[in-house]
Amino acid sequence: MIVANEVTMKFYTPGKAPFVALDSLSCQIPRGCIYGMIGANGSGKSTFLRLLSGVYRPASGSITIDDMPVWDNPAAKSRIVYIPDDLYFLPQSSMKDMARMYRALYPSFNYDRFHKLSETFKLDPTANLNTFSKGMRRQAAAILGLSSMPDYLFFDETFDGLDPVMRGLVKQVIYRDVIERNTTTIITSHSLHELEDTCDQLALLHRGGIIFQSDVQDLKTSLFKVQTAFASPFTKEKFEGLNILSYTQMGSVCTFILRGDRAATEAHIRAMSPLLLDILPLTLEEVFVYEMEALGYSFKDILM
Amino acid sequence: MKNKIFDFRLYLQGLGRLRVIGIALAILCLTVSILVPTVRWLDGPGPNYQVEYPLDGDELVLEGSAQTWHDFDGLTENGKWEATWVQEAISDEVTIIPVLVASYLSPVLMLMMFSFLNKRKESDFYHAIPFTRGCVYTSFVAAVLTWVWGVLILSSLSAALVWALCPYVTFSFGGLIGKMLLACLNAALLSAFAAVAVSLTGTSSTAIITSLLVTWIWRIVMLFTLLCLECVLFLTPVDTIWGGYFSLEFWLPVTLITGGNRPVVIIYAVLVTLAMFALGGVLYSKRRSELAGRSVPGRFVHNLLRCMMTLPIALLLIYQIIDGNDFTTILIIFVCMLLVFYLYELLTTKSARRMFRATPWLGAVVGVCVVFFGIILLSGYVEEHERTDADRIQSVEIMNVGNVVSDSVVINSYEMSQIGPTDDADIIATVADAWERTQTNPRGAGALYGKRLVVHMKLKGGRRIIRELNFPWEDYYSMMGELKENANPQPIPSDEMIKKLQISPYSMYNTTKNIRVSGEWQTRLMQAMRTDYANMTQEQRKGLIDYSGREMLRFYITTEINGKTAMYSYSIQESMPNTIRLLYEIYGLPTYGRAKAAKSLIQSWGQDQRNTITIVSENGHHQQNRLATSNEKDLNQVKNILLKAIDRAQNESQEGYGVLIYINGWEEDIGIPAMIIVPARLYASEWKIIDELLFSK
Repeated sequence: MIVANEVTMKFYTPGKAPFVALDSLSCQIPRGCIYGMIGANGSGKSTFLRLLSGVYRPASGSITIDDMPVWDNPAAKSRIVYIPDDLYFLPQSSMKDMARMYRALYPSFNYDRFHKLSETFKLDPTANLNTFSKGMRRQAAAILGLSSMPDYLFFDETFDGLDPVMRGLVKQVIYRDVIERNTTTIITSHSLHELEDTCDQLALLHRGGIIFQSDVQDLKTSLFKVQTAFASPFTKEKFEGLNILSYTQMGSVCTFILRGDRAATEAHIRAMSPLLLDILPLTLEEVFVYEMEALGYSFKDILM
Repeated sequence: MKNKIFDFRLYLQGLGRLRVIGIALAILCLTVSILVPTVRWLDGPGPNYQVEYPLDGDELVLEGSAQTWHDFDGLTENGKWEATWVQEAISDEVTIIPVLVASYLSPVLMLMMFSFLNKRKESDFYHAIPFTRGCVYTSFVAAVLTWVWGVLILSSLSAALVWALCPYVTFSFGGLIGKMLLACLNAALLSAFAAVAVSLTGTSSTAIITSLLVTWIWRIVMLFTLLCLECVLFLTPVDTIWGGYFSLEFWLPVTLITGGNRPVVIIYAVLVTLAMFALGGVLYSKRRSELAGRSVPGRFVHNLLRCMMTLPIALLLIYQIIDGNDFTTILIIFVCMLLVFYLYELLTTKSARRMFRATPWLGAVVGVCVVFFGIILLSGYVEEHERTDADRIQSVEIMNVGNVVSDSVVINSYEMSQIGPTDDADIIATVADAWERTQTNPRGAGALYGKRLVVHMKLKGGRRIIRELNFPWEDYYSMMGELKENANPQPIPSDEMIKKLQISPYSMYNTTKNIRVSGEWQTRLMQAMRTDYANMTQEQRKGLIDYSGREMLRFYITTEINGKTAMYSYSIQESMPNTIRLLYEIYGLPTYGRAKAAKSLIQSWGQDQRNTITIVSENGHHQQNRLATSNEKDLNQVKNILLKAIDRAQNESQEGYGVLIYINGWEEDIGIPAMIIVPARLYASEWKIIDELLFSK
């Protein structure tokens, strides 16, 4: 389990006040979870991953992986592979050269898997990485990371540059690792759509803090949209007792978003003899919008 | 995974990172290593040879340049002397050229190895790998040293191999190995400085600047401290006291290779290297990955580096002020100081506004300089106002390593080295007088006023001070006479005392330089010295140790007294016929055909029209020049060649001194060349005296 406790990270620039990238961030990420983090540029996603990888040392607070501190701790770091947004490969190297390097750095590096994944992704391990496109380089990095057989795998906006087919392939490998090896994966992205169908848990970072995090399944089921109509005139007060987050009415038809038990809500409204009653699921983005608004944030402002 | 200090796989990765530059360096050094001796080989025999002659089981070695008239084909003509080898001695510096290249390029390798620290993505990668930072640091540093040392050793041994195969030369394998090891240490030292710089900074340019600053700043401060102290301290022999540590010899890493092989220098270098590597390791472990791409970790370090950049020029400015230099020079240096200060800021921040915001830190530089200036002036004030009363002094020791020669006292350097501290009241009073006198008139020239001596004084409070004082001649000789009473006179050392005996003729071109004498020859020579000394007058004995600079030959005996090395230095003069005869016998060892020798001499010395060459043969004597060569028959009958030549080594415009070179018909068909430097009074009109003196047997 990853435990971040009151983590603060500051960047110092000569002549300027320190920039606080993470401010007292706390979270717990269980083993075998695919954890998604979304946030705008500068929200602290990459900084958080670098802290988890032991690249940065927090100004205050602590980060542990399975109760081990990460900073300068080879025992913890040997179980982590971090694939950054800006990839690094040895100059003039091929995937094979990089695999040799990863083998030297990560004792559990699996050559069989490396070759299989290279074949699956149709990448030539002997080709110079400089000849690869941006997406191919991301695939190469993902292959190298996955072949290192880590217990914790961190992707920093790695999927953003992949085409849908390759993205799907990588996700399949990740799912298998999660199922078979209980790997914990953290994926960051600007886009909620990227993470919607992948992650078990989602967190939204804003100005160095997690302002919202939840189980994706809970998110999807906790909010829902109701569209209903009544023969006689009515107002919002008619639905008193329901936990309505958003309410709109046009004539005799009203639409509202509410949190609560779906079946109980349906029974409650049906008891009012509506002319029309549709209970619709929300997209994850809609759920986020309403959850943020409930917290007093404007979701669009946060992700724009 | 355990926390390791060093990881072999990471080390191999480090080697791989440097393979391009490492291989390039190896090719460069190997090429030079092989090329230099190969070219020398292709050149054939050179003009400088070293000759070794076996002599009744002893070895006599002529070092340095052999006489140009040596015709080595004739060396074994008479079968009496046989050269075991005739080769040019290659200096260690020449054999080690490629090593120098590799040694001084070592910081480049260190900067390249840790260049990942200057790029964000590379820095993140290497900080994310599952090794402690200390492990990464030591493994990569080991990789750098492996490349540098590997190239050093490979190129040195390659050079040694080719030099060894070259038929015309000889070199000291031990010397080469020694130089190689020093070069390895030098490379490590430079790498260590670079390691500190790369661990501290985040860009290549600041890493290079910091590397240079870390390497040189301490020495620059010491140099200016020494220079400034020398300006204000008139009685304190600054150079004698601190010069050893402030000197170029300690100016690492320059002198590690160019001769600074004293154990203390090597130990110092090793300690500095270890300290720098340790400091680099600590800085690397504390380093923040986010520093990559930024010049320095914080404002303080940034300001510190800028101040360090400016400090050498600021100290130069202070030195110029203390030295009383003209206003224009001082103003130019001041402007240079400002330029360096602000340009550094402009280049690193690329902001003109920030450039001027740095001005308060200029105050820090000025503050350091003011403190420095104050300490220097205070030192001068303290020295100038020190009490010089004799009752303060507990004991004194006169430091004088030379000979003392006067009508009243004669002390050689051996005797001087025996004279230790004394609490003699008269001597202390003399020293106190000199102290007072020198303090009152510190610029009184020692040579005009009397003798300037370094005196170690122990004061009654236990404090020890060293002062350089002016003594009137009368006081000086009187004091030295009293001191000599404590010495054990030993004008000619016993055989047991001698550690090394070396003969050095008057240095001049075309001469054989030094000869080391040992074994039977040493015994014979010392015996001859003792015999001559016994027959000398007191005046002549004074002349024996009085260095006039115009003696025929000098020879040096190194001996040891109480663990300290002391040296006898004798001028060989005409009042020592036995010694001279033996010396010329030694010098005359290279034997060859008389005619060849004569021809060679005429060719060699006749080039200068101002030289006069007189051939003395059975048929009388006649002047000879280079163009009018005598016939072979005449030359075979040469008894002496008398050469009146100009002392070109000293001063071409003065013809008051010259050389007498003769080939004496010692035995049939064997000429024995020799050469002496003679004062004008001897060669101008008294050739015969010399001739009789030397060959009267």
